[in-house]
Amino acid sequence: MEKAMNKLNKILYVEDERDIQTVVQIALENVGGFTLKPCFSGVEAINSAAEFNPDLLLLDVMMPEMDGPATLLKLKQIPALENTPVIFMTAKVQPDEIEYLKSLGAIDVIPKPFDPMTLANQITSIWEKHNN
Amino acid sequence: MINQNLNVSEYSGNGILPYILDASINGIIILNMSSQVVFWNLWMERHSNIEQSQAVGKELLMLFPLLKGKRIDSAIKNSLQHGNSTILSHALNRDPFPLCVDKHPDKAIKQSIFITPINTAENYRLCSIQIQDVTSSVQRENLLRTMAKEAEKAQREAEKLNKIKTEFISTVSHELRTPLTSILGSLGLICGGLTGKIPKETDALIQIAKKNGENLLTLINDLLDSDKIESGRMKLNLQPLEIMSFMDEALSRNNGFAITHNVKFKITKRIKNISINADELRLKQVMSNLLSNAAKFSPPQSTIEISVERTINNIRISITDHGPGIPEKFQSILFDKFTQSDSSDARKSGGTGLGLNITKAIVELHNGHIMFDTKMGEGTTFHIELPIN
Repeated sequence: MEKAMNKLNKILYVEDERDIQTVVQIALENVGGFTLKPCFSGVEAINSAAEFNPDLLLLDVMMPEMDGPATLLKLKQIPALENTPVIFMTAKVQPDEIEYLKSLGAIDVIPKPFDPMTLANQITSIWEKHNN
Repeated sequence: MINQNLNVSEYSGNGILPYILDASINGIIILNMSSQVVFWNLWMERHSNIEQSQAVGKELLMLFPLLKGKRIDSAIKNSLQHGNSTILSHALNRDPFPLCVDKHPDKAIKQSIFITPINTAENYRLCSIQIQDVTSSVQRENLLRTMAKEAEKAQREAEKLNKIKTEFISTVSHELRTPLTSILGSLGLICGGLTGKIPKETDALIQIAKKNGENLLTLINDLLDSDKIESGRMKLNLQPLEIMSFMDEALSRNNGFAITHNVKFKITKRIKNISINADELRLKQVMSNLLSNAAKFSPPQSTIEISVERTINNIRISITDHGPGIPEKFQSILFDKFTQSDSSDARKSGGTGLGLNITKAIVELHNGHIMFDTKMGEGTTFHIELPIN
């Protein structure tokens, strides 16, 4: 709870598509000024999450082996991340798919494709709305 | 006493009655209290292969031994002893009498049988057995049943195919969106100056790539929406919406189309403080479709006029362009899928051919209407009417 009131800075980002990861990394680090920990899989995210201690989890949905919802479940079992807000990014944009992701506890869902120049602002306003 | 037996020899018919019974299109058998046949009409002769003279005086079970112990046997006894009537439908009593057409065993007659007691004035009790030929109704019923089963099967098949189509569109949409995210994302970062200043010629080429990527995304979204509309899965999130604030924002959001096509959007009539119940995102989609169409088909430097008025129960939004107008032969199919007035239009204007179809569906989901007036060489006005709260 205390962490949620801080300014958004550290984002743990999980995306298996290298190209999309590169775009998001530039958009969030260079445009948004955030500190990003990019991971290619859910397992990698679980192994590095506690040490990185993120303010926000940004998860892709469709990933091989461990998908976004399964990754979320495992990350939430780490005590330090129990209250860390989660945003999903997905190319599955049907309303029922988005509702399903929100029902898992995500504070919002960002559809792909997104505007990379406004992505950081979009994430900040979701974060602020959640904290207010 | 109404249960006295009538001897066969005493039965002589009564005037024309036997002729009437012979002319019947049903089989008629009259039995006495001993279950002996006292009357056997011509229909029975023709379809049982037993002549009247052979039948009269014989017990029914001697003529048809197979009936012994069957439901008809007990129904006859019940009629003679207790005066009860029974109807034996074909569905529950399949062909009790071995009757057929033209003495042909393959032409068995389907039967409905009515067993009724007859109490005569002389206190005799008889039993009337009337046999109705229901062969053609049974055949019709069977045909209808087969057709209904086939229709049900076809419906199940269509639903299955529809589900496969929806899953296919959803999967293709996802698979196309993933590379488009990288393409549009990379181009967006370059356009945003993240890689430094871009030479003019390079910028023009990047804009072409970006515009075409965005057109592809529109097509994917339109295909998804079209499938949702077709399968009745498009749901609206209705909220109160102040119409003029919405229109000002819609024009501002779509001003990029005006700039691209070198035209202007201008609101010529406004209304104050009127709200409607609408799905803001879907209505934005409607305005984007109509404003982008108006911009695409307008001559450069022309003005597209937008008016917002109130009618008795609706608000009416009209968008007027000064484009070429809609040819008469396309007017009746304008809101159909994949309709472009010129086959090269889609390529020239970047349209998907689904926009107006989706627009109409969204307006109608709001219980509204969409119409247009058009004149060749002068332009077109699209009107949307939406109910006020």
